[in-house]
This record gives sequence, C-alpha cells and structure tokens, in this order.
Amino acid sequence: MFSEKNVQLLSDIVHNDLLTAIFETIVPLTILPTLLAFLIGMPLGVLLVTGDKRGIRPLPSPVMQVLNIVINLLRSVPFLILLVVVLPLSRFFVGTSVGTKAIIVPLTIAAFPFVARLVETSIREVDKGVIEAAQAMGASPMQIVWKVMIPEAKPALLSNFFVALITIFGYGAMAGILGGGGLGAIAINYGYYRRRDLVMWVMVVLLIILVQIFQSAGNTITKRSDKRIR
Amino acid sequence: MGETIIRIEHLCKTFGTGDGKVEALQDIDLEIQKGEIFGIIGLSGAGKSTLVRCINLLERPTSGKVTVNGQELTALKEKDLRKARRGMSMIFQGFNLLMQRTALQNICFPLELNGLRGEKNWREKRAKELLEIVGLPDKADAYPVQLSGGQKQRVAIARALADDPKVLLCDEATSALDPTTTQSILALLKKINREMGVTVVVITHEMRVVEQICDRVAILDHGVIQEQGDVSEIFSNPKTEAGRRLVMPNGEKIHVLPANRLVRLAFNGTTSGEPIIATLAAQQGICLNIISADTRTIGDKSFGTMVLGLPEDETEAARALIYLREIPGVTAEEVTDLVQ
Repeated sequence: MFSEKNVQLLSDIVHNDLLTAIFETIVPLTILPTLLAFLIGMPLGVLLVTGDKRGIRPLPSPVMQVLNIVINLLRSVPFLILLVVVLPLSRFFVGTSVGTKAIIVPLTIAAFPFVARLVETSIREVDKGVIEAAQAMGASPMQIVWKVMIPEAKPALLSNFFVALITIFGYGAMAGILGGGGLGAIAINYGYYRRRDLVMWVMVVLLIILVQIFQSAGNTITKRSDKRIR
Repeated sequence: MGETIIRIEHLCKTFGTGDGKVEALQDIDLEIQKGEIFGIIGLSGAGKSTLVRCINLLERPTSGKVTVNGQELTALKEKDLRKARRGMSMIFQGFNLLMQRTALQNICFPLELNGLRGEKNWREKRAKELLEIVGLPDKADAYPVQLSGGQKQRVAIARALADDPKVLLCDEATSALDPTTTQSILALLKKINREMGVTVVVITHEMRVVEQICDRVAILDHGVIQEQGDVSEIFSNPKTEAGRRLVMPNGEKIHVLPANRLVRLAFNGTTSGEPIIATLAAQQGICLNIISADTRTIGDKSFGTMVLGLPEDETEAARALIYLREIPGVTAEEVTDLVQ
C-alpha cells in the first residue's frame, strides 16, 4: 500500500487536484443541492402539515394523497438508479449531462422529498396550543406559518438541515461513479478502478473529517438557536 | 345589569358521526353582561373547554348562534371572523407562549399580526407598559423557559391585553398553578376587569376560583347548563343535582342517619357572625344537633349549608322550625333526600 508509486500518485493528487476536489465536494455536491432541496422541500413539508385534514388550512384529500404518494415514490427509488434515470434531464436544467454541474440535478431531486418529510416532522412538533393561541388572536394561516410554525420549529429545522446536508454529502460522494467530481470521484477513480488503496483510504478519511465538521457545526448552531435551553 | 356583550343561543356541538358521535354541548343559552366576570364551572368532560372555544369560534358550533359585541360570529366569513377575534383574547391552562420569543416579543405578537398598529418602537413601548401592569417590568428579555408558571401566565395575560380586547376568555387559566400563585393571578384578573372594564369569562373546575372573582356563574354538566345565576345564590343554595355535587363535593353524607327529622339551613350571606343555634338554645331551651356543616366566605359574606337534627319532641321541633325560618338571610327546609 505504501509503495513508492502509490505515495508518488498521492502526492501528485494532493498537489494538483485536492483543493478543487474539496471545494467541489463541499459546494456544488453538498451545500448547493441541499439549499435547492430545501427550496423545494420546505414549502412541501409545510403544506403536508397545514393541508392535513386537521391542519390550519385543510386541502382536498385527493391533493394530499397525490402529494404523499409522489414523495414516497421518489424516496423509495435507490439513489444510484435515480442518478442514472435523471442524469439526462440535467441537460435541460443546467445545459450538460456530464460532470459535477450535471450531478446537482439528480442530487436535488433525490433529496427534496426527504427534506419535505424532515420539514414536516419538524413543523408537527410545534405545540398545538401555541397555534391555537395564534388563531384565537386572529392570525391568518400565512401568518401562522411565517410567525409561529417556522420560528417555533427553527431548532428542529436547523438540526434537520444538517441531517439532510450530511445525507446529500454521502450521495454526492457516490456520484463520482457517474462522472461527478470531488473527493468521492478521486476515491473511486484512482483508489477503486486503479487499485491504488492508499489514495482511496486517504480520500475516505478526508470525507470522514468533513462529516465530523458538518455535524459539530450543526450541533453548535442548533443549540445556540434554541431558546428552550436555559 | 347593563348590556349583553356575549349572547349564545341554542348552541349545540357534536363531535364525530354515527356510533362515535358525542354530543359535547346541547342547546346552550347564555348571556354575559358587559363588564362582569362570568364563571363557567363543571367537572372535566362537562364540555367547558368546548363551550369557551365556541365563543371565539376556534370550534365551530354544529348549530346555534354566537353573538359577541353585537356581531354574529357564526354568520361571518373566515376573514371577517379573524378580524372579530381581535376584539377578544384568550389565556390557557398551558400558557401557550411562543418559546422562541422573549416575554416582550410575545406581547408584541398580536400587535404584529395586526399590521395597522404602528411601528416596532410603538409596539415595544406598549409591551413594556403591559409588563408593568402585570407586575413583571424586569422580565422583558426573559424567554418563557426562564419564567415560573405564574410569571408565564402573567406574560400571557399581558399578551392577551395588548390589542385592547373587550372580552378575555380564560380556559382553566389557573389550573396548572399552585394555590398562592392562583390567588395572585385571580387578583390580577379582577384588577384588569375593574380597571380596564374588560369582560372576563372564566372556565374552571375549581370552586375557589368562581367564589373569588366571579359575579355570575353557570354550572355545566354533560354538555347542558344545569343552572345559572349570581354566584352567592347558586353557591348557597344549589337547586340541581349537578350544582350540589360541585358545591358540596363530599355530598351531605351522613353515615349514621339519625332517627329524628332533619332541616337544611342555607346561609345567603346576611347572618354571618350571629350565633343562631346558641341563641335558640339559650332563649327557648331547644337544643339542635349539628349533623353536618359546610360554609365558606365569598367576598365578605358567609355562605353555605348546614344540616341540623330537630329535637324529638314534636312541638319543640315545630317551634325550632318557625324560629329558623324567621331568621333573615337563611332558608330552612326539611330534608328527606339526604344521600345515605
């Protein structure tokens, strides 16, 4: 594993590709698709709660059923299959179906139904009594969403944001198989296909370190935002 | 009394359908006067909370009419109803404060909802005044988790008063508090009622609460109003079974029923301090046997009931009855219906 050839290759990669790979892993393969997934998943998650038949603005039950089925369907497709099926769509959304940029589309599509469920459970945790109090004060459904549900669920939403971030980070590393960039791609291309174990393990360790950093940052931010902790 | 502020007519509320159908409220008629403190008392499951939620239509009645401030709420569209709700406020057993906001921000909340009510500075000034009124001027920046139960309810009361309501609905507002804190919250509600002229509707299962602050009371049992009237009247002489059960929770239980005749005295608040039984013994030589007594002080008068055993001698018993019936403020009636 520590042969001269392997060490030489690793040192080449570290000099030439590592910074770009770390950037790709963090920004286009993790943060960007997470934000996009929240952009789509957040309103859906809120709708799943407010549109419920006991919610603050019930929607016709067929609408809710369709919404639930679509979300469950997308969640049940394994990510690698979704990746293969959706990748051609990337040409339509981002102009190309190869490379890191193209992977953003399947990542977002795979993640938003998951995010919708996370948002749903976060919002459902908000005390019913507080919502009732707001209704008694004459708050409209929109005001309840913006001024009660989202602010009161903020700690849970933040904590789930980091759950989603780390899940998407994992998907992003997998996408190396289909031409995405980042640390995952290096690990797969050099380490797995070319049997350079050293490169693979170093990349895996870097991925582990990044997950630890995300999680600790998430814990700190969540804790700081929660006013229920003295 | 003055004008009616809340009028409830033929209100019914049914939950569920078919076999699971529950008639929570049946044909409720109530009139609550402007400026009074009105109590609705009942055991748990009586339908009190449903009834209070029908006043601001958090629960939509199955049938019947609710009129508040001259506006028939049951006829309003959702949007107009929201506007009408701003004229009444509600406080809860669980306080229901926004946990992620400070006390000050909680009080500003109803003002924010009502976008027309000025700028942030104005709102905060108003919130500070209210904190002053409820006695928590130094808690503006505290989060609910840092406050005690009583303090939380004070913040909730301040929040309820922020938008100058005409009516304050209290749903078991003191049931989660200890006796001392309950006293202070009740005193605060009374102060708000007297000084700001807010009509207060109190929902409770506690007699003490009604005794202490209410002018009139309705007794709710199994979704039906059993009786209503002035607190002193109802509590000194409950006429219905449900009323007696609430006023005398232990019942007038007598384990060894004496053979002789019994008489029940009801004190209506005018004779406290007069030693009527001793007087009877001293002046007429007639001795009565006290079987049970349950009296309490409401406001500054005494109310309650007492059951006396009459002497065996028929003429003495008749004389004692005449004497008792002539005492002002006391009703005496022979009892035959004592439970065991």
